[in-house]
Amino acid sequence: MRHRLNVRPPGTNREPTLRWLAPTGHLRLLLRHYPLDRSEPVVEVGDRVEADTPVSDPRGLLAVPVHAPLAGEVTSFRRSNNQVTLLLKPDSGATPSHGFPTADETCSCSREEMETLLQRYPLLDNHLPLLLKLKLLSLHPERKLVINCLDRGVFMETRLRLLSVYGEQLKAALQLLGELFETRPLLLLPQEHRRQLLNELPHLPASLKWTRNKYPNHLEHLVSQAATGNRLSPAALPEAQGIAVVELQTVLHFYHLLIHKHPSPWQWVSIYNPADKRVEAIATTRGVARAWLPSAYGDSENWISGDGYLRETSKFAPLHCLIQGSEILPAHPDRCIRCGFCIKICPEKLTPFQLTGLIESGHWQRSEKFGLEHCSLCGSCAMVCPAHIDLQALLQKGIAELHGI
Amino acid sequence: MVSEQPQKVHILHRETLTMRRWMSGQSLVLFPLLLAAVFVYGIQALLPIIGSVAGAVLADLAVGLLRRSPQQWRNLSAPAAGLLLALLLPPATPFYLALLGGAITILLGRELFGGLGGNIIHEAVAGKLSLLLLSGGILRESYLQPFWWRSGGWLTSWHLPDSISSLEAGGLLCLYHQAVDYLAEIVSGESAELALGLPEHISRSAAAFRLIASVPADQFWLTNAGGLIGETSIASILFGYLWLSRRRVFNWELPLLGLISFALVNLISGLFSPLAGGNFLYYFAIGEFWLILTLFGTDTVTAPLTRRGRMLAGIILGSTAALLTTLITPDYEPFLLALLLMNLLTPPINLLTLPRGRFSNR
Repeated sequence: MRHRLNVRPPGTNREPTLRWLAPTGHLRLLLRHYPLDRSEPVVEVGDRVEADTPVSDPRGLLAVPVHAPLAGEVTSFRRSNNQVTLLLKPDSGATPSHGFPTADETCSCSREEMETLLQRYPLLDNHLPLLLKLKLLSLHPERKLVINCLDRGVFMETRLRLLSVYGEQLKAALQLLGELFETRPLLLLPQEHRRQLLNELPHLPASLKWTRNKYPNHLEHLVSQAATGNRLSPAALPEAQGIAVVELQTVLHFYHLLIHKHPSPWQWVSIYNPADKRVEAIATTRGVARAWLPSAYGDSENWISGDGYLRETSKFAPLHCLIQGSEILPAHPDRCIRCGFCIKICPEKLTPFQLTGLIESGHWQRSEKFGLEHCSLCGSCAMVCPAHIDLQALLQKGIAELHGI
Repeated sequence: MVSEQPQKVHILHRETLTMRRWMSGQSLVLFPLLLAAVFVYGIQALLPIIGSVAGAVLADLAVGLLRRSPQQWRNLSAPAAGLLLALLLPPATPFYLALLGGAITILLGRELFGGLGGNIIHEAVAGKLSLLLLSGGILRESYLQPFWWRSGGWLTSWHLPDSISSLEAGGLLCLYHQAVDYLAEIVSGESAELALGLPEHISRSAAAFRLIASVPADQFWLTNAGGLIGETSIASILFGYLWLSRRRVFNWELPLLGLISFALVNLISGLFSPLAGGNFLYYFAIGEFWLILTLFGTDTVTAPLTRRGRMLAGIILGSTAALLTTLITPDYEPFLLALLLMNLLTPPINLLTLPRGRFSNR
């Protein structure tokens, strides 16, 4: 049992029953999905909004509207540092139009339907849009779509748990993605949990060819071809051109989009049990002061932690701040002191401080030499930076400039 | 396993770790060191401390106004830099010189390179070295004898005690003392059964062992020899280093490799040295050695970022210091110069050792 992967409560195959906790105060909705997004509100103070109606008008090239998670009344706006926050007072007893995602939901979409949906909602969610990545990818004949499920970075616990609970959905989503963009989706799995994950994910092949010597630069990782279940050799990957790295969460959002024909209002959040020091469940929320909690846990806010915040949260820290990490950035970030945290945490083994230094000074072309194109914009570096530099936004800017967007 | 991961991430928590906390933490761990200095050298040792902190803060404020970033003092990096400079000053440094040094530390050591995080050389080292050049020997005459009010008189040169009773040194340190004594006996051929015809310099340095091995026993807790403000107590230096390593990246590679390479190179180069070589234990008793190796060498801005890089830097630092002490002179800031060289070599080391991404061919 020592080697068992504790990505879900022992003895259960599904998520524990989650119940909805009504928000106590105002909801704070950040009117942007990703750092370069420019959105203006389409509602005014005093307006009533229904659940799942758009409240922002996207202005940026890649922007998509933000939707209200609950029905309620707009009370005020806050503008700071080039971003707008909307305060929404939800109606008493308001519940989201759709509940916590279940592993039973299935989807089958035609290619045209998928393309139309992706054109309307290119799945931003703090990452370079999936559509854009795939379009860039389609330029390469030897293209590969890599789904980042690694255990480095701050999203590790959530990723592993998502992988475990939504394995079947993920498989379906990867198959759809593969069909849509004629590519071979690959799962990037943490090597130390490989065996356990393969046991827990029956759809993954149990025997995978894996040679350490052929893969010297990234020994701890394993690339497995998840969608088709075929065996593969990871040796081909380092030489391959045209690799797009996509976060696991984005793939699940993609699947949700295909099911509900509507972008997911969720941000994945780990529910962390400080007593056992492990994640008990995952819940999702965006702009919601309280969240879906496993019914056994009561109302304690200490159970909740945002992506990567794997410790007790302060009682005074609103959950929204924890989830939307970029919102708490100070207006004047400090300068980089080369602490090396970003290098340590980067799942792609890049040097974010160097890359952003080059991007800031306008030498973004040189940053290509440092592997900028392989950045998956997971945001781990921005989350650990003690100088509170918004590395994610800068990297996004660099990637956008690199591809001439 | 997954359940063990939270500890790994815990130091990287964003809300708790800000630049202000980082810098104030760096300053706070120096307080035992400063208290020890005041205890040993009297209340007047506060003057250079206050002077250098004031100089640094004033310079930072002025630069902030000039750069139109008046909030830049808020990260408390200037007082931290001032305190670090104060550690490198002799206890009787005149107030105006300390003030000047603090200002130079910020202006020349940091802002000339573009501000916090941009400097190649450690800012306090840059401040100390320029102050040495500017002061025209005043710094070298500002040393005090420990507890000078008891014995009277000012100390202008390094002082070594002749002996120490084993009672004063307690526990492990006493054992260490005895072991070194025994080693000295064997090496110098004083023990009858091992009276070999050893080269002269080994017997010479072995004779020096007897004298100097007594130093760490009490200097570990408090100095018994005149020196800089920062080297009053090796225990406080190590405490500060270990405390800081809780919060920031734990850089154990540089001090460890520095220590080992210093000892080895010192022993080897001692063979060719006109000076007394091979007596690295003497330097282990000097607070400045530990100060440079731990608190200054592991400064994140000027140390390499990767483990391999830090190891390389530790070797460079240790061996340069050893070569300077044995082959040239131990009198003229060998550790500072070694740190200077290491800092200058940090950018190329980073270039060699930084990762280039999982998909790169390196």
